[in-house]
Amino acid sequence: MTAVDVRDLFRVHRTEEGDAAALQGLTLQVAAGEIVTVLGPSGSGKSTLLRSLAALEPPSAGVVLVFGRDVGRMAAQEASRYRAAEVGIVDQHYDRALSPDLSCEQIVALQPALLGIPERERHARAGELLARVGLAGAAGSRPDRLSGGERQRVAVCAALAHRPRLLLADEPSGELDAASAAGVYALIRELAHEAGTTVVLVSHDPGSVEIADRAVRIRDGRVAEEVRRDGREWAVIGHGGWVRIPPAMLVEGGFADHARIERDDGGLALRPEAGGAPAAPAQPATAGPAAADAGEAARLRGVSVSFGSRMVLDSLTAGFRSARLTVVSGRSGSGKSTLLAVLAGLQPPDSGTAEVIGQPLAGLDRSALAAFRAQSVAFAGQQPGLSGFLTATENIVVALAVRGIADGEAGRRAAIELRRLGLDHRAGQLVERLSAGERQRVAIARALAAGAPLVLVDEPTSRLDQASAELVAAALAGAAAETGAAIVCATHDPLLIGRAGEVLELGQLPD
Amino acid sequence: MSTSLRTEARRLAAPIRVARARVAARRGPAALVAVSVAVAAALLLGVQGGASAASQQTVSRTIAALAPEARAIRLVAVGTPGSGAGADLDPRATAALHRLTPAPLVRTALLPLSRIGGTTISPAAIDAVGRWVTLRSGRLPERCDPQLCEVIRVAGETPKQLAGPGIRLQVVGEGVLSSALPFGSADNVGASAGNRKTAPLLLAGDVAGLLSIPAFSSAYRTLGWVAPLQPDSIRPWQIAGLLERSAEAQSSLAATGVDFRLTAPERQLVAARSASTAAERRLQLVGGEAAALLLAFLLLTAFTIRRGLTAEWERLERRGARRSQLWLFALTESAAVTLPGVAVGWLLAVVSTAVIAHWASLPVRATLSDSLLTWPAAGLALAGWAIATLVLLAALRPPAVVRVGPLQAADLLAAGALAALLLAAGRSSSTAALAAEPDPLLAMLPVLVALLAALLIGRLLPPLLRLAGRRSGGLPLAGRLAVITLARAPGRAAAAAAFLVVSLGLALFAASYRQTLVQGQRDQADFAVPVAAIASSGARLVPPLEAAPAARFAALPGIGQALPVDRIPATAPSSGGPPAAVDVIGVPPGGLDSISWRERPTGAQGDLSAGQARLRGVPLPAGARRLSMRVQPAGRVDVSLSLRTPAGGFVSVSLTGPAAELAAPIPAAAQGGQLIALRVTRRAAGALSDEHQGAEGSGSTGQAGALRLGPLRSDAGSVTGWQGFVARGVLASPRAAGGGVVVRYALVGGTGGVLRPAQATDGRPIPVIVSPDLAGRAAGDLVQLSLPGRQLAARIVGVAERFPTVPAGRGFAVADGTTLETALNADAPGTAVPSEVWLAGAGGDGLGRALRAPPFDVLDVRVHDEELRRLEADPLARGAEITLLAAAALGMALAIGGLLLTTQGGVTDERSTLYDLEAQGVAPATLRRQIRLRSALVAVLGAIGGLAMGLVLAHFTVQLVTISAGAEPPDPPLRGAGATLLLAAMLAVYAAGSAVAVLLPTARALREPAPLRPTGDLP
Repeated sequence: MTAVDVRDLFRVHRTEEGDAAALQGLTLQVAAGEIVTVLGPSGSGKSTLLRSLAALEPPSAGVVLVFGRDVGRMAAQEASRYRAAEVGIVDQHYDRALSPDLSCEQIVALQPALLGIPERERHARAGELLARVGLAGAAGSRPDRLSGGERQRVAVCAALAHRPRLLLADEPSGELDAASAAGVYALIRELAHEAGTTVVLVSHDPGSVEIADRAVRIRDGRVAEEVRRDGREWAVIGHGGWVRIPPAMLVEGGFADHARIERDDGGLALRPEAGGAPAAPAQPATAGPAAADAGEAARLRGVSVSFGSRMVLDSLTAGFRSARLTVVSGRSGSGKSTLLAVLAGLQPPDSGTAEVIGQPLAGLDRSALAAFRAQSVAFAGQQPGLSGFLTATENIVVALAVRGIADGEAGRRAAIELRRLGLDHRAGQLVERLSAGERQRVAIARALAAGAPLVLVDEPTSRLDQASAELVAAALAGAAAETGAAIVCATHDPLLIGRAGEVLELGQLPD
Repeated sequence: MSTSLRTEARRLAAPIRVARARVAARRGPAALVAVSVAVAAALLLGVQGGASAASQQTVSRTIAALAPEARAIRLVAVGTPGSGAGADLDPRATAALHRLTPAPLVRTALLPLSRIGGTTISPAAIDAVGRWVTLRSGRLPERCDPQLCEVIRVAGETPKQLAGPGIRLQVVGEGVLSSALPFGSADNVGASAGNRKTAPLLLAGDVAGLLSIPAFSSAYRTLGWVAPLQPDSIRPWQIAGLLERSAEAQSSLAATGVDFRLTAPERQLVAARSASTAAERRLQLVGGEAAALLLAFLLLTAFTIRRGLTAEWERLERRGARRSQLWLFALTESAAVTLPGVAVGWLLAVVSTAVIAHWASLPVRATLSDSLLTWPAAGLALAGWAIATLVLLAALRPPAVVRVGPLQAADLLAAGALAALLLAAGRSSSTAALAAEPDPLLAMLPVLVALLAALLIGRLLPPLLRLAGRRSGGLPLAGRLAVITLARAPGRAAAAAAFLVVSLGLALFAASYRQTLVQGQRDQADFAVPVAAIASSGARLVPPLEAAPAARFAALPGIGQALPVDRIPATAPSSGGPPAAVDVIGVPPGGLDSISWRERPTGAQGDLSAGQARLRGVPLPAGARRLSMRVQPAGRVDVSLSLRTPAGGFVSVSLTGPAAELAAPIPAAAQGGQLIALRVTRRAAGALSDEHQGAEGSGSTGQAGALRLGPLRSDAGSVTGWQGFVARGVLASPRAAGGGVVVRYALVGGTGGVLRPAQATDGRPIPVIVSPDLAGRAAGDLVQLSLPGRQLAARIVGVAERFPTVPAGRGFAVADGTTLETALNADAPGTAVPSEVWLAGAGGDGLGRALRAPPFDVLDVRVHDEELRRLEADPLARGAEITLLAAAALGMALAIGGLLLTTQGGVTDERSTLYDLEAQGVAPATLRRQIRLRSALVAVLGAIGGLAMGLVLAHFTVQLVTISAGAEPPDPPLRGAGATLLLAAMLAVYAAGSAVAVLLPTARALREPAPLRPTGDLP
């Protein structure tokens, strides 16, 4: 029996700045009782898929059938009833998912209570589940008394307390350490299999694939690949008549922009276009003065950072070379952003040292660090503070004014970097009228325009389609080579990883 | 209960349980919200309670100020038993009065003068007579029946026992009436029972017993039932019902055919009720605005709990909670936060009202049970709770912005507010509206102005900020960042600025309006008594300068100058309409400079005293005691002389004599004085005959002829030979003849003529400053005034809106006193004498006391400081001032509190922006500076807008709400007080408070070892 049947699902988010397509013709079927992991980079549409399955977002086009019901066309009240009775949701941010003011037992029993299940019955169910996950003693405690792993276990119990037929889990291990993450995956599989619950699990984490009957990878709002339990990867061929090939395979096969299709042993074979040059990583036309010096722009020695009881970076030692794009990769919550913050002097390590451009950061106070950043570090975070009422160029000019760069010179640099990122035609446009992806590119241009020897960029392609992501990847790699700057980029986007001179992988799950 | 119902009940209980758990766990963040609700509720309900107390005090004072005999509801029946005024009236009368008041009744009976045993007496009775009589001797009467009626003698002399056919009276004591209440005034007693001054009043202690005496069984009698009114016995809200029931009782009693008269102090009660209602509404207006402002503050504070509630809402939504469950959750949480606020506010209001009532010597329990412990008050509290809950709910789950084409709902709202404001401004005086029928537009005035100001700022500020942000290139970095960060979230900046404008505007409005009311009280006192005190002729009609010379007045404590003032009633002609009533007022030279005159016309005073004319006369020789002159033919007419005394008074001396030689002694007061005029009138008998014939319609005959007047001589020498004298009235111009003159006359009725020296005012209109309506009746600059017995031509040299002491609706013509007296006394000596003395100076505590002691105690006295104290002590005025003061303080506190929240919000809510800026290399000190700068910018915008709004609001209110602090139509009308110093002081307080509000949250901000990373960036 098919539990989930999604066909040609489009979801367009309408914003004041313009429309953004999160899902573009996604098609996916999940059998009843099956556990499917949905993989994909940030911004690929994974969470939108889950929200569509939960009837929290109506489709712009296409059909979403869950257990035979068209949840995409449900009225609000019917959708609420469907969610309350049929769906369990586990959120990445358990602090956001768990009410801080209710006890664990109240949290687990809440959804049955919303359904009007008698008190004795729902409390018995809550007690049973909490006992199953080893938290019977914490039934009366509030979530803030529990560790991250325990909280996420409570969240899983809360999502399954009303015996839903479909469990939707969005990065359930996103804020957990590796051991806790593995425990949560195991718990989901165990409880789901017991109840015959269908599971759609969204994650960056390869570990999540281990509990799945099937994994699909989505890109640009479409399912691009499928990995089955036998380990074989299959490209997904949509009924629209086109096929998407993983970029790495294209590079490996020497494909450029076009391919020839030939019948081959009962199948179809793709041949690269004759004379087609492989899409090699962009190289700098000319190397800047710093490019010749491929020494280390920054170094971390034994750096540890923890938030509460959770260790994010554990005795990390790494170097970041000038004139090179270094990608820091890892699953969500592995400490990529924290590493960038440490390098920028925005996050003091609990232990260990950070040295940037020969300057030990430990000796600098907050003001001195700010002054140091103004001279030596450019930073493009996940939430760039662009001003919507200023143009792309004006935003860059204001940011460079902080660094003491005159408006004229700043304008010149802004023009160069916006052109590098394919935004020269949008330079005079108000940022509030740009799409989310364009804004992200403006933020990157702002960082590059600073001319700092160390450029830190956090998830630069999370809101970009593939073409833009490729453009950004090329731009970052090119800028590193051209300016001699060390560009450190936190991401798990294979496109960027493919362009990186070096890759630092964080938060590997234990074998 | 069916299963489905039970299931539904459990479904609804689930979100309520969540809300309950959250409120229990989040007492801290909810406290600020609850406090703002509590303050709003306390203010709204406290104003309600305070207004009720002030109203009650007004009514109580009104009743207490009544004369004792008027402080009652009195039912009187007159007639004989045959006409229905028998003893059997009592149940009907008692029932009628008990429908009006539960007060115990006093029964009285007055019988006509009766002659018993050879003695004329006035028999009367009061039940429980001991309460109303003070015994001087003997005892109180104990029985009264046909066999023996014991009485006490209240006045006159009588034997101890009086007996006649069917009556036996025994005088058992002697006393006096201790109160006029039972019988009303002494005149009432006289009117009912004849002349009580000569007939002894014998008072029995039993009305029914007295009426049962056979001798009085058929006598004409006046029966009375009196319900005394205690100051606290009538509540303001009872007055309308009382008057209505009184009218009904009168109708039903009139239907009985008995001559009933029901009287109560209706006029005073209606006036008190009207004033208290108007004042109550104004208090509610100000209190309501302040409460509305606090609700706006609630919106600001709501943001402190918004994030948590929104997160919980989303959690529940994801778990499939239905709309009804979601809204029930939000409603429960909002209501749970606001309920304690309303309860505490109500408690505070009860306590404050109790304290106010205690201070005002009002019964605390009754005041509370009339105001806050009533169902309407409970309804108000519940409505406040509902409104606060809905406001909070709207802040927590804001509705989507409604658009109509290019316009937002806010634009339409602003247009509506503007239209309503223009409509309100277009209306005329609202006195009646506020006093009787409340005008909702006027009551909404501050709300409309505030709404309009807030909406204008909300719409105009964002584009201006964005423009400034794009043009900020030349500013220092902190300034540039401040402008840019403001422009990044212009809605938030506009909301903060709008709140500051509204709260500061209300504060400045309340303060300046209070100042206006206080100034209005001073103006009213100045208008009623424009100098330290005014002494005028009282009931005894003694001219003030006869009571004491001017020098004696000037010697009073705190008095520097005594100004004799003439006030003569006159009329001014009108084309077609009735003549206008005018006061002609003469003020001594320079006197106008010494009085408080708000609408003083500039420059006109000099014109007034220019060409001042003193009354010319012929000095009487020193030592002269007697005057004589020869008049021929003798005995045809009456001849008298008008003399002016050295003190300034006038004396008329009739010359008499057996033949042509007439003479008269000079009165002592006039010795050393002046001869002003010789007056010729028809002899008294002839004049009377003429008047009689005129009345009969047969016409008067009149009398004409010529007189030869010899020189006027005194025993100390010649006085005048009449040369240079001019004739006025019925006399023709004199012709010299011998040592005297010959003058022809034509006398009709009581008219006469005078012969007098030529005066400077002859043929010249006197200069006057007049009221606008009088100016409108002038021909060019000349106006003709009709004074008793003569006309006065006046030339207008100035127009003033008002002149002190002249009530609204009455015209005036102010002249130089000397010139006015000359013009009037020349032809009719003595017609213009000062009727008032205005005492200029600083005054002082002892002035009133001194003026009420001999020799001034025969005069009516009005003391400026006493008038001012009376106005200031008015409970309604005090209530208004206290409320406005509280509103001003509250508005100021909220403005500063709002700025504090805004600045704090700039530190905490924009963490990601600050983080990004610091990540770009901006130093924390620069970030702190930019936060302070933008808060300062918002504060300055708030100050400018608040000042403008406060002034506009005060202007509108003064123009439209034309009632005084004491809720009466003020005379003179209120005028917006300049209050520059006050506003400057308030702005200084605001600046100091703003500095604290900006520095306090930023002083320790951004001083952690590392910047706080935004949540989304973790880890």
